[in-house]
Amino acid sequence: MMTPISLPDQTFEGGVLPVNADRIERRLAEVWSLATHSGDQGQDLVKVCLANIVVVCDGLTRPEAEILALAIAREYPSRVILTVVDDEIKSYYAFVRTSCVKDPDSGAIRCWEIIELVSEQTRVKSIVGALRSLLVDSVPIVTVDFRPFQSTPALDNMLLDLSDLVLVNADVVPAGASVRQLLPLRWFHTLPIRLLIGDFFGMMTAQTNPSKFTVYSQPNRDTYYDLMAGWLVARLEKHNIAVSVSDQPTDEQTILTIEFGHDLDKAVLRLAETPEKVEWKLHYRNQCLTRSVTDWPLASYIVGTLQDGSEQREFEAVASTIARMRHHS
Amino acid sequence: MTTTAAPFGNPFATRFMRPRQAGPFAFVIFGASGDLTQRKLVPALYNLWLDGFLPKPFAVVGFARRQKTDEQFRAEMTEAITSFSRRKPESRESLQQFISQLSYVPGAFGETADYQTLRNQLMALSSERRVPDNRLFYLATPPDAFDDIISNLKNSGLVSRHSEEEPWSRVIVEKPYGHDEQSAQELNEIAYRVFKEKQIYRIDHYLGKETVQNILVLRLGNAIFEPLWNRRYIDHVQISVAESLGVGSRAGYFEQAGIIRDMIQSHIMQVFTLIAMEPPAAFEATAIRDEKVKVLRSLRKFSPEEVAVNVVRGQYAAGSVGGEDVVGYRQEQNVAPGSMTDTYVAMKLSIDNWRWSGVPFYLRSGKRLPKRVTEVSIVFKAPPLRLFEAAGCEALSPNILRLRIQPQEGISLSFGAKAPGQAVTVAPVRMDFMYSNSFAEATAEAYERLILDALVGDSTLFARDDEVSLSWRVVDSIIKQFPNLPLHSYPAGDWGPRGADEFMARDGREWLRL
Repeated sequence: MMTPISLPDQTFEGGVLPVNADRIERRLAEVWSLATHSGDQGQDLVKVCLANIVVVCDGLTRPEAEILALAIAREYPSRVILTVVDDEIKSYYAFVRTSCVKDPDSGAIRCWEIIELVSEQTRVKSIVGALRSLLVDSVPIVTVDFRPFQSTPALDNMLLDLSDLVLVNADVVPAGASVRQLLPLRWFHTLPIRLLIGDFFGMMTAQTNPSKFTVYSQPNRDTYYDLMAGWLVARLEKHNIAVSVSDQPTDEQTILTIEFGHDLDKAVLRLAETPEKVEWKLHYRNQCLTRSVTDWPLASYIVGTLQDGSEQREFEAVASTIARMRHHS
Repeated sequence: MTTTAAPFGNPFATRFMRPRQAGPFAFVIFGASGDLTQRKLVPALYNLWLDGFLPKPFAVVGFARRQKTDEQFRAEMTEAITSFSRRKPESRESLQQFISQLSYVPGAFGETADYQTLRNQLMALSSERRVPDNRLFYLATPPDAFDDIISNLKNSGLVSRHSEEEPWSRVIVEKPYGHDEQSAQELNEIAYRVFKEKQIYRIDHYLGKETVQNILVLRLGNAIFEPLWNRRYIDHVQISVAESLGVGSRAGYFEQAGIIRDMIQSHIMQVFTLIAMEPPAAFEATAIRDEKVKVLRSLRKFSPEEVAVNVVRGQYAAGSVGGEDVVGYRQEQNVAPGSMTDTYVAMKLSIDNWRWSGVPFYLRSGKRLPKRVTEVSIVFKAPPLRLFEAAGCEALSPNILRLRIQPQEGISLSFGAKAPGQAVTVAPVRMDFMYSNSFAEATAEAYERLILDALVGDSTLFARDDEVSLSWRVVDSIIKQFPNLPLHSYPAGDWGPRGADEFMARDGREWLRL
């Protein structure tokens, strides 16, 4: 017996199923039907699907993948297909659920659906067929792959081929894959820094010409110093300003310094981590600009990137610049 | 010889995640002690700030007669945000960061010395926060303060003549923009002493609503609608702005204005021009506003006799709204016992151009109607052939495209579908799009959109001087005949006077149920 949607949030679970696209779709239709008739006043639900979001993970990366799957569905009504490739699970199954949220002010009910496909690596080929059938046509396909290595060519190539946007954790994608719109997750991690630097120079109303940018590599942590250096070089192309990469950081937290000519004026960008938050801080004279890494969650970033092609264009320019820099070095 | 290096500028600027961020500015609110500042302006600025649309260096200065300190003003605005913002502050710290940008200058609108104080404050802020002298003045005041404020702005040297180049100056003016064509032109003359037309932003908050903006997107961003948007396919258009509230505390103003000035000249005319205009050559302010003006120029002018046939006036009497008994308009506080002010007006407009010849536009607005709703309904013509009558089907309902502006912004299309069963029975069904169901991002308040537009210099959603003049001209020609038009009474809670239904019935039509 379905309880009415009078709670702020409600999830309707369709339970465990075999990995069979037809059965999954039928079960989803049943769950939708139950949800539809559960409104307090028999209110119709509007099922809106603006995208397919395929989130791929392994056992280790499953927690962050699940966080993204839930977050993005709330923000951008989509069909989310969480694909778990995990050899620890000697199993092969699908799980479906729909979640509904009732707006307390308007009473409007918004729902989204999440399909989980779980498989051990050896059976991934079977998932590929089901996944292809489950993709909703006429809306974009976004793939977010949290795995550190892409090790399932059948699945990886299919997603790379079909997706309009692919965000990967892995540094290396399979050779021969046709890459259309590929963004490394590391590039996403540079977003708060790029916006912070943009805001900083937006505030510099006096004629202050920087003379040198130095990016510091940090070998002991996940880094994106190469992307930062590439971005700075790409953006500063028309200005005759030096950008260098140093493996001799002044301290563990400093990622970037900006020198302003002869008066030894310097801005320093540092990472500040506490148990509660992670922030980027740009110190210059007596000012400190701060951006939290949570200001732009991954879900919002993905939605923004889908709606605005500038991130892909920017990354393409940066990747091209990095390739040029490596060629010359 | 010294050479100066070209300014570095900002090669790192990006629009990603913040497509319309404003540059540094100072925002001066004249009339900052009033309701509008608390309920709309400061909450709007706060939400813009939360969403990253405001730059880091900005300043908000309230200017009003009441004596208060910066701290008192900030405390009031903290309370205002807590009460009226669509998003409540997540943390005291975050709210404090915004509130610390606010300050207050007590002053009288007519007192020149007070503008010097304002000037000193702005210069100090400019220096301290490195805010360039970009200034947006908001006149949240009655129109009779306009002259004093504008004159003193001129005399104090607070205004630059640039509308886009830094340091720019712009002014936002609230409606009512005059009470007739002549007074609107007089306000223009006052404003032009200091500002150029490009610097003047005449605000109508309806234009900040998502669905109103969506009118153009719907029409011009989808190939399927524009070919139907004309006299061949559309039977008529209804634009309704219904309010369930009475005149409340606004009787002083409303007695002079009436609903025709309060709603029809401003909000409804804006919506009407967006529905009726030709596609612009470019999606930019001048092109769009040019097309809106063309619609107003194409309106058929009423002769005095035609006003009597095409306009219905009404005034609410005692009744019941939403289950609550309410008094009639003449029993409201500050309303004259024999008041002849209209609280309801319905009219039929005709546009004499190739697109709309023969398509009536029915406009209505009223207070103390059963519910608060604003909607545009495009009613399409019946199919040329009634195929299903032979199968026993009765006359089909027309296709109606409804644009719901408030509440619950959205769009719906009703069409006929075969009802399940053996017989060919056609039943009306609706295809709905509601903003709240389709987009997770909460729709911004209209003032947020409009203030940001003014800050970035986009005047598309603000009324231009000729638009305002022409809409007043239409309304003035009708108001002139009001002494000759009966004022029909209607009970509060009804959908207006019977005369309005009869007026539709004469044309073989009826008001759609809202």
